[in-house]
Amino acid sequence: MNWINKKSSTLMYHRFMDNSFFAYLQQLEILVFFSGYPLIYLLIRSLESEQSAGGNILKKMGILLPYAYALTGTLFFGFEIKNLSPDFTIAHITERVQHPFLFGWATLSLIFWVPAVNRFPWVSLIHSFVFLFLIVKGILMNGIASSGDNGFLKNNMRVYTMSLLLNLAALIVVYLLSFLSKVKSGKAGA
Amino acid sequence: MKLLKNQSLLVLLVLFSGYGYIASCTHESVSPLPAAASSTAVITRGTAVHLPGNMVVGDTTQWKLDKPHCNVMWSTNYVGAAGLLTGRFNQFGMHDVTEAKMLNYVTAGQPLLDSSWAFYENEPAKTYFNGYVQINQSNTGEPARDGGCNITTLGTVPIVAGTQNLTVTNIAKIKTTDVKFDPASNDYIVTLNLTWKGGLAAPLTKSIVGRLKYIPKAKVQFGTGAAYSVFGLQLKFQLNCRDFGITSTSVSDKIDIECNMNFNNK
Repeated sequence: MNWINKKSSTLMYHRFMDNSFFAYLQQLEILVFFSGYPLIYLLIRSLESEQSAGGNILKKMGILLPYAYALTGTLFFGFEIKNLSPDFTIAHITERVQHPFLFGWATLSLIFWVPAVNRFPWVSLIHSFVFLFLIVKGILMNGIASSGDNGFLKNNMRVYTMSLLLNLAALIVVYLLSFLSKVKSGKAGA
Repeated sequence: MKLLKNQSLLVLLVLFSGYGYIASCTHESVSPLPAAASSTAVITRGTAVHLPGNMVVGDTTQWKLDKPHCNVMWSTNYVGAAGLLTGRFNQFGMHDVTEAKMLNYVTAGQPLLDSSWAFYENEPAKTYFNGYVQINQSNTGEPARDGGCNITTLGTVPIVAGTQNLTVTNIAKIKTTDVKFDPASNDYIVTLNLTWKGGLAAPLTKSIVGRLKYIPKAKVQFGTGAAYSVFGLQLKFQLNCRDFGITSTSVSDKIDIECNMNFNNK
C-alpha cells in the first residue's frame, strides 16, 4: 500500500478509528485494480473508429479490452491470495475481506476470460462502473462537504491514477501476447 | 449512435476525473511550512579587555586567576577502545615558565605569578596566554595509580610534599602562537605550542590547534560582601601522547585536554 499517502491515511485512521479503516484500505486496494478501466475502455472505443494509422491496433485493442480487464482481475485475485497466504482459514478470510460484496464483484471479473462473455465487451464496462462509482462518489462528497480536508480525495485520485496506469499496462500486455501468439501461429502455419 | 454514447461517456468521465484531480491538488489541507531556521550562526562579541597586570589584590582593573575554582582535566579511552579514563591536574598555572624558571619551588601555593596572559574579546590578535601543569599532580582519584604506574608511564618523578616541581621532567606547558575568531561561533581558534618531555629524552614542542571559549564578565555579590566581577575562559585541545613517547597501552593515542579557568578582579 505504498501508493497511499501515509499522512492522509493517518488522517483517515483518525476519521474511522476502528475496523472501518481497514475496510477503507481494502476498498482502495480494489479501486486501484478496477476504477481506471472505464476511462481506458471509453478512450479506446472512441479512438478505434478514428481513421488513423493506428486504427487497426486500436480496433484490435478494443476487442481485447475484456481480456485486459480479466487480466487485471487475475492480478487482483493473486494479490489477495498473496495477502491471505499462508493462512487460508475461514476466520482469516473473514477478517481480511472487509467488503464481501465488493470483493466478490471484483473476483467476478475473472469471468471475462471466458470467450462467450467476451463477445459483449460492454459487459466489462458495466461491471467496472461499480468501482468507478466509488471514485465519483468520493469526488462528489468532497465537493459537497468541502471541509478543507482533501486528503480523502487526494488518496482516491492517487489510486485512480494508479488504476489508469495498471489497466493501460494490462491492455498493452494482452495486446502484445495476442500479437506474439498471432506471429507464432503464422509461422507455424507457414 | 453507439460511438456517440461512448464519446459522451468519455467526455463526462474526463470532466469528472479532471475535477477530481484539480480539487485534490488545491493544497487546502496542507499547512504552510514554517520558515527554515537560519543556518547562519549568530555571533555577538563585546569589547571586553581583561589583563592581569601584577595581580595586585584590591585593584579591580587587574584580573586574578581563581585557581581554587579552576580545573585542568584530561580524558582518553581506556586501552584505546573502552570508556573514558579521566583525571585532573592538581597543580597548574598561567605563567610563561622559561627554562630559567624550571625549578623546584618549596611552597604550598602557586610558585609563579599567574600573569602571563591577556584577553581582548574583539581583538584576538592581541590575546595570548601561557600555561603549565605539573605532570606528577595528575589525579584520577586512585592513589595507587596516581603515585604508581602514572609516574613511570608519564616519565616523571613522584611528588615531594611541599614542593612545586616545575623541572623539565615534570612540566608540560602551552604557549599560544595565534588566536583568531572562529567564523562559525562566538569562540576563538587557538594555535598553541605544547612542550612536554613525556617519555622522550628531551622536551618536544608540537603545534596544536584548540578552541577557546570566553564566558563573559559578570558582576556578583554575596551577602554583605563587596561586589566583584568574574569571567571565564575554557580551552579545549587534543594531543597525541605517542608523539611524546608515551607507550602505555592503557591509554589511547589521543588525549583530550580541557582547561576551565575562572578569573576575578577582587
